[in-house]
Amino acid sequence: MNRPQVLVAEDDRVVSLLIARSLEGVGAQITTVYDGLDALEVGLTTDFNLVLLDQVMPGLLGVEVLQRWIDDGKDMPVIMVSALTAEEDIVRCLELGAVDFIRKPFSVRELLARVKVHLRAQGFEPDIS
Amino acid sequence: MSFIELFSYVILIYFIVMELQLLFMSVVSFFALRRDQFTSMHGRLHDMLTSDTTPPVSIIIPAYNEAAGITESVRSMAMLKYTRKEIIVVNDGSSDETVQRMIDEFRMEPIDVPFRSSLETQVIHRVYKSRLPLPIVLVDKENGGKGDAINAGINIAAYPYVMATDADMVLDDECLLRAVRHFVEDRSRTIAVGGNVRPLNGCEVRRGRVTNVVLPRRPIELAQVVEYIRSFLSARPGWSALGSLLIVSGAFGIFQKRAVIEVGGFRHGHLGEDIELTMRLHRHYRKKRIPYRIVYAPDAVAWTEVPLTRQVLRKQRIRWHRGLMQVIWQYKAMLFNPRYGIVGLYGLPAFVAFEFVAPIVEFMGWLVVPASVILGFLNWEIAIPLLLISLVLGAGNSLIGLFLDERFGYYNAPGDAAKLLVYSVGEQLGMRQRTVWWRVRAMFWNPRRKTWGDMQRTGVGNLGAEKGPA
Repeated sequence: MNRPQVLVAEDDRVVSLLIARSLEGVGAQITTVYDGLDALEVGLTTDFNLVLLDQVMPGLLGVEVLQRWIDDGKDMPVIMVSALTAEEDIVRCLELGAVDFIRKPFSVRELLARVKVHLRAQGFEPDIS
Repeated sequence: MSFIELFSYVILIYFIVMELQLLFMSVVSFFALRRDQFTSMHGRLHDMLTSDTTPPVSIIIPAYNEAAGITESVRSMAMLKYTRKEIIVVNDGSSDETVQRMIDEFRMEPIDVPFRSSLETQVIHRVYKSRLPLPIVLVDKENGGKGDAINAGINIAAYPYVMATDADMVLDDECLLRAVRHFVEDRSRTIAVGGNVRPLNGCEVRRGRVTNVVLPRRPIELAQVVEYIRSFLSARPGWSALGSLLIVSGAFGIFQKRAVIEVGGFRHGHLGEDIELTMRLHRHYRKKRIPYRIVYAPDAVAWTEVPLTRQVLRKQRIRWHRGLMQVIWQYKAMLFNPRYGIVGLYGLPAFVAFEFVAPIVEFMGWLVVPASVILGFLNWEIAIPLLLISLVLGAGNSLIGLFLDERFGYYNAPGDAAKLLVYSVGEQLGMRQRTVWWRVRAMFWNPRRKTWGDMQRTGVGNLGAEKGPA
């Protein structure tokens, strides 16, 4: 089976590296971007199996990127990641189309567990790759 | 002793007293900053970021013809590290595409929101909210000036604290967190927190954030950096610690909403709307004998472009000085009135003596003292040392400002310290006299008049809050 393609859009390079390394450990193929505009562009041209989208990014905010993908007919599972969101906004993010929401600071174990759930739903076996 | 001789000595002694007062404030600032450093340690900021009890803040951005930069500005505010905040853009009757740009970019849609008109403002046409899960509100209203726009934002604000800022300010990531810390520390008494405004000129900015702090090149900009450091580091922390901070900048100030509403909000048609509001808050709380705090947060930093040309700087300084005159005139009853505590007995008198009167005395000093020395009226063996003492004290005050600024570690490039040192001393000869002349010119104006001299008052864009030293 192919390796799952995962986009990590996160402006904090340390957090981005941490996520990327952890996901590589479960066999995912990672693309990283650090900017909302780059995330938008790469998301429009590539079909990812999963996207980890930081809410607070320069260029475009995470939800703006998500909205534009939806407008463009892109249907990718998106997990929003953010430290700065109130409960109401988390609910609205999920209503907008995100499949999950992870609050920062997060534990790597929890992040991996959630990622695996979404990859398994698409028929991947993340642990074995 | 002839009259002119006596007059010269009075002026020289005045210079020294003024510098000694600044020196005293620098010492108070030093201790205030040291104490603050201890209280801000131990990861409190991180706790605030994750705590549910951190008070939510409404950020108000008045916008007049800001179509070019408003969306970037909103994104930059949305990126501030702070858990619960809303961003309220108040379109102050712009003639450009400000509203349309907001609607298009953030999918704003009109909402029927009931709000209390606690503060009287120009007519509000419509209120919009983002369809995206973003806490962004747009208020579209008739033009009424910056203060009116902020008041409209306060009426709409959902949260108990409001931050007033300008669309062109570049804010540090943690500035809001660092400022709100003071409300958290003493929630019942703190009614306003002013931030530290620094000159943006020369700095590298990427996507609405300062990524590299660089000293500007031009002498006119460098002199202003020194001036801002002196004002924001050797004066304001001291005034704040003494309970007599008279300026909370409208370009970067956070207020308790209830307090601002209680005193009637920002006043329209004032040259120094933010100084005026700060004074009104002091007067109200002192008069009613309600315990309160108006605090300065030196570590909450926002950056602003300072004038590049002599003409613009001159206009700005004349406007500031007239604003100051207006405020002094309006609040003259507080002077030496024990009812107003330290504000009436020390803060405001010092403001009058060393901000308002200083340019007159200094201007006369630069004319009279050299003339009397040349004409032989004055014993130069006494006069020259007195003059030198005042200049050395002046330069010394700037140097203390630089020393206090060191702890924040912004200007680290090789040569930065030397440049700032040279300008701190050099400022005493040139820039200082020029500013004095502008301030003297500003005085040829009646503060009770309702016209604004050479000010073109078309909207918030060119009104410009007090952002810098006063």
